[in-house]
Amino acid sequence: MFFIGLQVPLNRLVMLWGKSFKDRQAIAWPAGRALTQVAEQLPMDAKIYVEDPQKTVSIWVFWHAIHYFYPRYLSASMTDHYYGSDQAAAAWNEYPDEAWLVSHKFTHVMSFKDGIHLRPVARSLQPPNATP
Amino acid sequence: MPLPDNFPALLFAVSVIFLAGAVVFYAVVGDPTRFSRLERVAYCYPLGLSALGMPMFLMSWAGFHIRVLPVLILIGLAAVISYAVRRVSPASLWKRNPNAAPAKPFSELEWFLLLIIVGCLMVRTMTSLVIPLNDGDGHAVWCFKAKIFFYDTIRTTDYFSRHELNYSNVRYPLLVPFMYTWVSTVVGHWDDQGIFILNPTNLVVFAILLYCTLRKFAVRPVALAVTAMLSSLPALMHYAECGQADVPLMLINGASLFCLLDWIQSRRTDSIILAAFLMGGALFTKEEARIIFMAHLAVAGLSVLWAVPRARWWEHAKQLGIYIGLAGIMALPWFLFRRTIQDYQRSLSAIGFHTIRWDQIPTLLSTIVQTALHFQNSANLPKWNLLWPLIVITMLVNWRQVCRHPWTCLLAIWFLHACGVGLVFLASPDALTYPAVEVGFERYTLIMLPPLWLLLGLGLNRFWEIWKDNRATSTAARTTA
Repeated sequence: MFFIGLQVPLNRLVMLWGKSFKDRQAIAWPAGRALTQVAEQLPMDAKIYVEDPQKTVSIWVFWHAIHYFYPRYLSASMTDHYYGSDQAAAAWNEYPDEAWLVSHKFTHVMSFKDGIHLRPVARSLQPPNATP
Repeated sequence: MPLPDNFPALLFAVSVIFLAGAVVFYAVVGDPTRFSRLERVAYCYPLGLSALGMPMFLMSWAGFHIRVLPVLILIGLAAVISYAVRRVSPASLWKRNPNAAPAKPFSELEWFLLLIIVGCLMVRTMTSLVIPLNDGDGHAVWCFKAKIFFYDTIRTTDYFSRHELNYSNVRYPLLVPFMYTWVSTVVGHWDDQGIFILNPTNLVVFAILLYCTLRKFAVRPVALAVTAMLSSLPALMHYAECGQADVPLMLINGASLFCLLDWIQSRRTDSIILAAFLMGGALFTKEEARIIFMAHLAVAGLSVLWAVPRARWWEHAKQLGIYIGLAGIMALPWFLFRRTIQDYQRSLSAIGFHTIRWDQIPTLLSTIVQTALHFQNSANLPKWNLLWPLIVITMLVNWRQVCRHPWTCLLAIWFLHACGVGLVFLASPDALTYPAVEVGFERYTLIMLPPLWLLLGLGLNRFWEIWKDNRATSTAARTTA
């Protein structure tokens, strides 16, 4: 009884011991590492629109991205719609055009389709000081 | 790597929580020597969490960022006011109990049990210090909110009005996020790793409080054995290392229960004030603390009716009034603010007695049994080991003692808490099958355990006494022969 309680966390400790924070994050929560790397490319006041939030493993990845990107603003809805589950997110279909993005002061678009892809909002329309 | 670079700052953040709790302990407890020194220090931590959570919330609600200096000034002011009222030297907090029996040396068994406790808690402490944020709810709810309050304030953030963020349970209480915010504030930057300094502290302090409470009615080997079971409980492994509020609630609600049990036994006013203060903190930690509050209150009231002469009912009713009033006042600002938050789909407010699915009771019972009997959860982590068979056997064998006051109160608190959580499940629209609710059940069960740990200690102590009696009898018989 006591042995299991010691063994499992000990294994976890041995696995992580001596590694840098980035390496430990990559082991403990790989999605967190990937999202952090993208977030770190952007200034703190960046405003990012997320497309295809359902095209990753789960809608949860988008929700976790909100944590990793904060205080950068992340949204996947033009209407402040709540996609409460993977099923609801499967119906996501809110692709904004560049004019809408600029008018709402979004600086970047991040797509979850086939991985994580980041692009700035059309440069000619971009507000000043928004380039990373 | 051994320790993170900002370890001194992390230690300072935790020390301030202890300090805040020490001020509350000093202000409330008339005779600290009735607690062991270790117990006094341990109580300071959950009291500190309860004491700091609400002022930080009010500060943020007023539009101020959490800063170190105002928090220290607040603690200093509270200390000065407490001293002005009590006029007792703060050194009395560390006074030795003059009537305490000298400690006996440990036996081999006790050293072995202590080794298990220290080994398990140390490994968990070290793991917490190296493992970054690694769980779904930690990202989506608790740590996310903490990050918001680090960069922003309740007054200025748009978090509470963004429908899109409803997944993060906007109406959940905020004590744990504010404590993570506090640690990051002391460190000087948001730290996905450093905030978890609080996790092992929660577990270690709970283990100490449990041990000290058990020692009030059980022999040392039994108290150590139960504490060793807690320290090595597999179900705690994950939750003591991730960013969730279940272990903090287990700690604060457990500490409140231990004080309430002392009140039920002694009717000391300072015990019920401590219990109320901690319950106020619990109400600001997780939603289900409201069920726990009702269970504690109902059983405390019944204990007065059952075990107190009618002539003294009024006196104890007044103490219960203090309990309700203090816990309520402490959590009131949060409940007022909570009413202003619009919740769209995930709120429990839409459920009620009319939505209870009575026909689902067999499914719920089957899920409860499966939760207790499954050796591993869906993430292939071991869960309860032999805990449930041990609890059931010790309770059955020791049934007569469990049915006596005050031990029945513990059983009643557990029963009411379990029924309350069960009713919420029955009233919610969610599926009640084992795969659907397994993870939730694991967490809710951890929070329900404090009274059962004490009952397990009571039962094992009875076994110990019987074994000792038999051994003494057989030794005497051999000597006579």
